[in-house]
Amino acid sequence: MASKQNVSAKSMTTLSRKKRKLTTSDWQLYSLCLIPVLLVFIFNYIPMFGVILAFKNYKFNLGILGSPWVGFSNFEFFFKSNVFTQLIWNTISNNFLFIVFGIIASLIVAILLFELKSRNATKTFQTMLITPHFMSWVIVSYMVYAILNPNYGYLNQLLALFGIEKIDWYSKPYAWPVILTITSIWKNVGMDSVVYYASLMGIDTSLFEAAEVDGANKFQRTIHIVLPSLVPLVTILTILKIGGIFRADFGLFYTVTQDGASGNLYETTNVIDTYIFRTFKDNATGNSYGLTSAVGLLQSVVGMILVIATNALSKKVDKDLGLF
Amino acid sequence: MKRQNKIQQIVLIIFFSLLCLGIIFPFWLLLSASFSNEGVITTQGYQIWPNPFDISAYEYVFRNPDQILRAYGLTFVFSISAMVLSVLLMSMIAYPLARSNLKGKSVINFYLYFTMLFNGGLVPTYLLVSRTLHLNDTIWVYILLGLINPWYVFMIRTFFKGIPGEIVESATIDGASEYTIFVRMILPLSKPVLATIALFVFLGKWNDWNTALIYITKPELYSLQYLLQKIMEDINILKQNQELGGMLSVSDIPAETVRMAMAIIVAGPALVVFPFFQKYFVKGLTVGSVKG
Amino acid sequence: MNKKRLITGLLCLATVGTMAVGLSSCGEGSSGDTLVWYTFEDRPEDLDTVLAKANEIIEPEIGMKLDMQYIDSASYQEKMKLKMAAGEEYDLAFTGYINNYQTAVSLGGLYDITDLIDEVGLREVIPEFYFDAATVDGRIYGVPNIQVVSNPVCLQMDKELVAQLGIDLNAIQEAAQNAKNIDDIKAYAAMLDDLFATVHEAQPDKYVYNPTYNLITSPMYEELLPGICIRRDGSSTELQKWIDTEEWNYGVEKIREWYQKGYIRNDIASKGTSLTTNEEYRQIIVSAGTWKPGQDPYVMERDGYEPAYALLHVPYVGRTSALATMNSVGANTKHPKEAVEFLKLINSNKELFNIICWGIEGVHYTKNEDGKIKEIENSGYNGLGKNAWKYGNQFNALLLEDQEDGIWEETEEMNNTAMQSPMLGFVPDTDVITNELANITNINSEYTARIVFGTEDPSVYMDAYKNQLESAGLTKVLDELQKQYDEFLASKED
Repeated sequence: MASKQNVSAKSMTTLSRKKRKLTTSDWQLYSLCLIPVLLVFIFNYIPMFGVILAFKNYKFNLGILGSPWVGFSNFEFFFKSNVFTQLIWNTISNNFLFIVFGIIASLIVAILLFELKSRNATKTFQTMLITPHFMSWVIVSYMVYAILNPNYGYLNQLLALFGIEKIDWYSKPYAWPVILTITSIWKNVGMDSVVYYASLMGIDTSLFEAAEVDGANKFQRTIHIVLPSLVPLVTILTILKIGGIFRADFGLFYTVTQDGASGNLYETTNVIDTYIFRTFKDNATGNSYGLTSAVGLLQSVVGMILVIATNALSKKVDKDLGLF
Repeated sequence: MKRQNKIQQIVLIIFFSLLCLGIIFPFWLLLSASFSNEGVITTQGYQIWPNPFDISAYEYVFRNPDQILRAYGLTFVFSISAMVLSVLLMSMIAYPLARSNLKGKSVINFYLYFTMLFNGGLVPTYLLVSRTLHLNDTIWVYILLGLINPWYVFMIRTFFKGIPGEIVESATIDGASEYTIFVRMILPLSKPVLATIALFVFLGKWNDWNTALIYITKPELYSLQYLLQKIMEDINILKQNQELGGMLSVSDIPAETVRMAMAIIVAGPALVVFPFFQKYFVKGLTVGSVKG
Repeated sequence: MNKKRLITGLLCLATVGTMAVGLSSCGEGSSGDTLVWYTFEDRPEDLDTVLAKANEIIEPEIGMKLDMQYIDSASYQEKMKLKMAAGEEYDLAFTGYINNYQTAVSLGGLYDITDLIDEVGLREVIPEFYFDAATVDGRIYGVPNIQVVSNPVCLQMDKELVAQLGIDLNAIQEAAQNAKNIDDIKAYAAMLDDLFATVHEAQPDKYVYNPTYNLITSPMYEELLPGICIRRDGSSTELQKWIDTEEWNYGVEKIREWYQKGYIRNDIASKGTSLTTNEEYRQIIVSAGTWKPGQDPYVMERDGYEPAYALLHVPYVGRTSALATMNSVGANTKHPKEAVEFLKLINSNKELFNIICWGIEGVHYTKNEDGKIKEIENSGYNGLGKNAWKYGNQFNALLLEDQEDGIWEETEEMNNTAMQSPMLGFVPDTDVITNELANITNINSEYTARIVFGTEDPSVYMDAYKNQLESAGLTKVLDELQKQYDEFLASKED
């Protein structure tokens, strides 16, 4: 591992930097890009003209181009909604919890796995930890429901053993940021920790040998060598996640909460994406297509601004950090 | 020192065993519930061990086995095709992007990254796919949608960057074309990352039900996930009909356990496939995630 | 050398790309002489045979053939929304409780058939009040399928249990139907209290009641839009806020009381009121539902007992009852006239209607000596006629063996003699109050569990709830709707 890292220091990146004129090799490389670029153009860029729906009152019989322009009224509808602050707060605060505790949990798991000597054990544990990542939210919601059901859920059966009275978790809004954070970590900790673990595998082992000679213990080693080596990766992943802080995971917030259990949980779990879904379903605005596009556009723009801002900030702290 | 190490290892193993047990436990609950008796669940609650052991949920789901087996087959075919095609195409664009001397590289990078933030939304995409390309009600809609995932491209690109440059250099001197280098050298050297990404793509497609919901009306083209979703939804619709003046009666469908059984049926193969890819996994993600 | 390779490579790639896109371009698209009719349910295997038979009748009449496109129920709504949004050409589609008619109209997804209705003479086969219900801004975009539209809300119990416990359902029915004010309602609620207490004691393992309908307000009020209601009996032309009526407030307290006494399942918030299996239905002692003639056999199959009922109000045609099951013409149809002609045909031609419902005699069903139908199992065309209301006038459908004679006549009689909603034909224009209505909906959905199921004490949240509604603009909504409603009443008198 380590040796490979060293060799890669002189990798393709450094090759023939001076060439200026386009060569046959360049053309060959461009030709390789052609089909993927074309596919992205067709399937991602062509539909983007649809963002104009955000500024229109879409009438099916008039078509996208023929529908009347309504300026910013779709955005206004969203801003003026009485749940606007609730949505923003819930979306950001829940995502914040997921990011912070998600990173802490996966770092701990990665570092402890790294300390584990037996490769077979590591592999087995990793496989099990990653498994939840491949489950759809619908399946996860069944599991959560089986555990939390107020009458016959496993958790309440367990509580009953200790003489604690049954709790209807689906009408306790303040329990849900915790429940959702645990669920989110449960689903993602395996995958995230593998990413960190993989990066740990690349640390130059001579550093550890040196540390051992200096008489450092495992804890000191972790603080001084292991953690610092992970900083760039943590930064990059965090930047990416912050870009999505205005997007809530619909499946988590809608399915796992059983649609906010008939409103009881909205106080803490009603987020932008579930709100849009409900408004669209009930056609509550009469212009649900416009509203959906408007909010989607808003999420994209805010996401981009946040990514650029965090990126700049991280670079200010250390110019080697940052995504681009 | 040695002894202390040994104790540490044991403590770690115990810790992870407990952690994994906790992580895996919900799956056991699911499995147990799927083999439970509907009546027992509604009256006594879920049990850790199904008592009595009851397979009626599976019987209900498989009462029409042709349909499910066909959906299994179809889903397997399009997941594999999409996987191969997607990994190939993403490597094709990732390779030039890994070569820093290529002019306009940053433009292509941004071109890809932009699609991660902005998208056209449902209606324009539907218009394109069904009205212009006529992909609806064909297997191609499963395969062609979402072939290029920018995030995966960046992961592959970063792995390619880690491949020693001398290999490319010497090959170029020998007069090999970029195509040859890409196919004969780069791809074989990148098995870990390609396998990892392949797994992601495969499972993404395997779990796909939304595509069928929107684009597929022919029952013979239902994906597995959609078919199972539909079985569940049919139970609900039966009930709605009844309230709205229909005369259909709700038959004795074990809804709660059917749900669990369906989850097992869908998730099962994904869980079985995963360990085969595992050996590439850590390596695939090793360099893959580091910044490019 | 290298350039040649480059070109060959490019050509190869281009071919692959074209293939991928081109291979499948042979999608649908209606041919010139066929009417395309979308409806929901799984496509019957033997549909082609049945359609061929049906077209023997249809083609001579309107000069076009019919093609039925079945979309599975699970995705019908989603797919029709997109088909409309994408401006697809199709001629007919089911609209109603799924693929909502009013939504489709407001989004411009349907064809205006007002003039064609008279041209084709559709009014000859469909009673006028169905068209009243379907009128939006003076225009009509679809044809309601004739079926039961006046079913009253009812309580339903096991007849044996009623006798065994000495329960007087008739007294409850009378109290409910004669309720005119809050005192009447309180007296009626006291009877419900007794009823619930008795059955709860008798069968403590079961749930007493599933809150699908509001038992306290149902006898007296009909909802117009979220937050706004009117008295059913037409004794007042005043619209009211739900929160201002004594009955509603009393109902909220009652539901809380029932919830606390354990009459309602305590996981109702996460479980909801939807019941999906017979098992679940049989756990409810007193079911709240709607009543219609001839429903007993189905209740028996589902609930496992012979039912007794208390109808909470007289048969009543609500403002939107007729809109639950309709067929409409697609906005981009090329054959609007033929489509409407077909709607007339399917609603008047019994033979055609029964072919679509039950298939072909001798192949898909047999008739017994009473002229009733027995389906041939696994014939490839089963069960569709049970939902005859999807296709047209349900009263034209042949009866199944286990259905009583005369249920259609009885239903028709009930529809025609039913009390009609004072708001029948009133379609409010909500453009000016969109934001307010959306806000009210947001608030209501947040409080569903508390208000409808009683999961929390009203004294804790009621003030906050009412304040939120007021600041969301409930008064503005009320005033605007009242203004429109007064105009509507005035125009009706002309």
